[in-house]
Amino acid sequence: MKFLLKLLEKQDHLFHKGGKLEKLFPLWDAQSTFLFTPAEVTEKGPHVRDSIDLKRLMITVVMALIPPTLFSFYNTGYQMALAYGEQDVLSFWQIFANGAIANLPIILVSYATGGLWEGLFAVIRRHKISEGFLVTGLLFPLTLPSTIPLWQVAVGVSFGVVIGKEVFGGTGMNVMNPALTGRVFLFFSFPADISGAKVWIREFHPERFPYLDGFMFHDASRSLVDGYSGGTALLAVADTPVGGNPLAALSNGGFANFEFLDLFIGLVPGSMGETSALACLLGAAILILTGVGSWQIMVSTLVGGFGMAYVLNLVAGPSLPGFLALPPLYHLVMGGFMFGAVYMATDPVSAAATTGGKYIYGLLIGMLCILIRVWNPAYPEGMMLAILFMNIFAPLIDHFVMRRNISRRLKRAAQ
Amino acid sequence: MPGRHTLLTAIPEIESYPRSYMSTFSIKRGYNIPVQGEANTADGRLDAPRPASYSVHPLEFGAKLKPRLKVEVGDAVKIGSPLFVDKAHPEVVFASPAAGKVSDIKYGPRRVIEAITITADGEDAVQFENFRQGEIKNVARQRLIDLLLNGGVWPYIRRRPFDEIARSTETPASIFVNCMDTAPLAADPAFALKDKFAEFEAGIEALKILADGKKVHIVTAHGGESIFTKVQGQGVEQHTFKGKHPAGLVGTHISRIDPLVGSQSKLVWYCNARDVVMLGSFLLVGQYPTEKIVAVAGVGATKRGYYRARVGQSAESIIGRNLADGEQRIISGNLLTGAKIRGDIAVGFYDDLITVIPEGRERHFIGWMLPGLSRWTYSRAFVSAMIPGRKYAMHTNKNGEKRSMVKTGDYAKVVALDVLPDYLAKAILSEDIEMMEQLGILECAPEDFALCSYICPSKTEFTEIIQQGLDLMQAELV
Repeated sequence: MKFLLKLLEKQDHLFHKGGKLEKLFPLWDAQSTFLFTPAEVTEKGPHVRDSIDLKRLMITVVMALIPPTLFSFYNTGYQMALAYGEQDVLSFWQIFANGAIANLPIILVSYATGGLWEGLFAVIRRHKISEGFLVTGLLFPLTLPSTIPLWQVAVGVSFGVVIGKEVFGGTGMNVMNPALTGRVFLFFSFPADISGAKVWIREFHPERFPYLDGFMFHDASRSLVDGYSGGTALLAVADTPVGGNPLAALSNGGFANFEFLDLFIGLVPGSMGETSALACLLGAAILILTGVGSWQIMVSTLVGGFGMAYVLNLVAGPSLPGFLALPPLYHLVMGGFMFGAVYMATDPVSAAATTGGKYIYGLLIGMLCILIRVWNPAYPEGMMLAILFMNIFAPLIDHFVMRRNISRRLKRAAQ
Repeated sequence: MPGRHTLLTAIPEIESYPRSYMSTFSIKRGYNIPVQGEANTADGRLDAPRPASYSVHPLEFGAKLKPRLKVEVGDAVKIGSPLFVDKAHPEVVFASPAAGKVSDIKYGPRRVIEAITITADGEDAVQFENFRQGEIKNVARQRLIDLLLNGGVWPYIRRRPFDEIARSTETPASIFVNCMDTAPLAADPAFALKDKFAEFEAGIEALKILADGKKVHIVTAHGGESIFTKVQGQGVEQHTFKGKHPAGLVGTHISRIDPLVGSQSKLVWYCNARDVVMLGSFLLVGQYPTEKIVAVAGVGATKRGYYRARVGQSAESIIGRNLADGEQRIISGNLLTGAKIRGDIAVGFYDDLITVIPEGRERHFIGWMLPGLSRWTYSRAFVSAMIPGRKYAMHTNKNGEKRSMVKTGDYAKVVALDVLPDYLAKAILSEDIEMMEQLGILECAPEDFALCSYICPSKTEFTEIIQQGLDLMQAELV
């Protein structure tokens, strides 16, 4: 690697002050420090520094996102196979390959478009490229259905990065989670492509995906299975009649039969990365073991969601929506709850930062999510809205914790 | 009720602030940086060679101190002759640590005085009044102050808030004597000063007079006897602290024993044990004290130990040729708060440690993605976190580039004061004086936040920000 380092160092002068390509320094620096750790030494005390930097922090989150990403490949392929009755015909790897072919372009478009904006802002603003986008670029596509048109991916990630982050001054300054900002933009702008019962399963549409579908393992003579619906578990529960039993709605959905274990493992329709609570828990383990994600937020979000669902169970009655009676554990494994709790709520930039504040922030996200789900079936996915809402309130929560610190100081003075 | 924990308490692990004194304080928060290269005590205290010249550096007393020179190049000086005074407080004399001739006065940009060099010749010393051990307690306070000022040892007494030389016209709420050091590779004062009981006791006697009826708090590391724990008597209180760094910082001690809260005008004075020995030595002998014990530590130094050196002696004259190969950084003081110096610069007036570590300019291929078995970290984001207790030959690489601050919530875990570091930093950066004060800036000194800079993934310079806040605050109060 000495050769590569020498090559880099030889070109380095071009990008520094007075160099021909001075303006492109942020891009140069990004790839140079991507390849080799920076040579910069401390100027004054502390003379030694921890090995952790933002690159390491973010790559750790990306590693934690690998389980849901890989699972999304398999599940997308599996749902396609189910829809065409091919689940017993195709091998594991064929199913996995089909999903990867469907999902990878979405991820690539997200990274490429978002990366372009990041680079552009870095060059114009003359700051270094922040690594936060390594996470946003993957987090965002995982919240989308695998049928999303690629141009919408580009538009959504652009909105998330530019409006959700860069207008505030870039990573560290933003108020809301950029990935969710992008998703909420798509959700309200193009609802037909991101909600309802029709979007969750990738079908074979040679006219819509002319190149991709040709590479997939699929018998073109097969057509969709009779009675195939493709709705998510949340949609199924939302259809519970007043005073009805939500579990019956889950298991009698005709084509779909959502058992608890299915929902936990995640071989069900849904957004790419969110279906598997199991994969999210694996990611949570990585985040908690490395100390990168806040366990306080994750745990309190789960507690808040569980508690709220439990309270609603107590309230549920013959004249109220049947959704209220759904057992709390089901709520936690359905939809984006677990994905949001593990990866979205814990974003250190947009979450509450004080220890006490984290508990409150998480609790309220969990509670709000369940409330939105149950009381407003128009938005079956309450998690996105709950997190964005609490993103906005996080500074307020922290403010109260800060006031307590101040009043504690005043009390000490009075002693 | 102190120490009441509720859900909203930002820092639940902080312990209560006891009102009963003479106790042991256990500091729960903090971090000991796992660095190799401690000074060894096995060789006892070695004699450092006597150099041909000594130097004094006015800048180390803070950027606010404007020196007025009392000597010119060529003047003959004795040990204890005034070299310069502080323009704002001309009663504070800075004395020559050596006898001989002023051979050079070096000016830096905008004519700041960088160094005054004295070429040594003999041991002539200015003779001040001296006392026997029992006599010191009868000296009147003002007379004692004048003696210490004229003798050039007053600068050993410092004050909080604002961490600067004590003002002789003020009376502190109490005086702290810090007899412990938890900084990385710190010299152990109990070892370095073990034969200085008489001087220490005399120094404490003087501080008792200066305290004017208020308390003198002697703080030692928990466990173990030392000369410091033997001093008892009216007006003196003994405390012990245990825990990781910053358990040994005077700011931590003040916050637990006599916190700087409530009034902008509340102030305390403090000395390190070695400073008290200097005061005591001055009073017993009547001459400006020149002997100081300096520890040499860090993997960049090959002969690590404790050296009997002199005030104003350059770092290289103590270390000699005992440097490791490669580019080394010489630090006067510890890794967290010490100053990067050239070898020919004197060890800091307040420092008892030289730390030498290699410069880390090497670049490593995709270092940020590798498991990182040999990378030190407070976080657990490298595989090395699975080997607790491992120590590293650390170098000066910043290990990352500066980014905007990301609130990881870890900062408060390494600060022993009951403050919210990230919020305080933000109040300072937005120059919100009122908020800064409410958030406790007056309790703080930059060194209290050095570990925040160390652990910060965005490489935010917390110590600089706190200094900036204190400067703003001080300008506001004047």
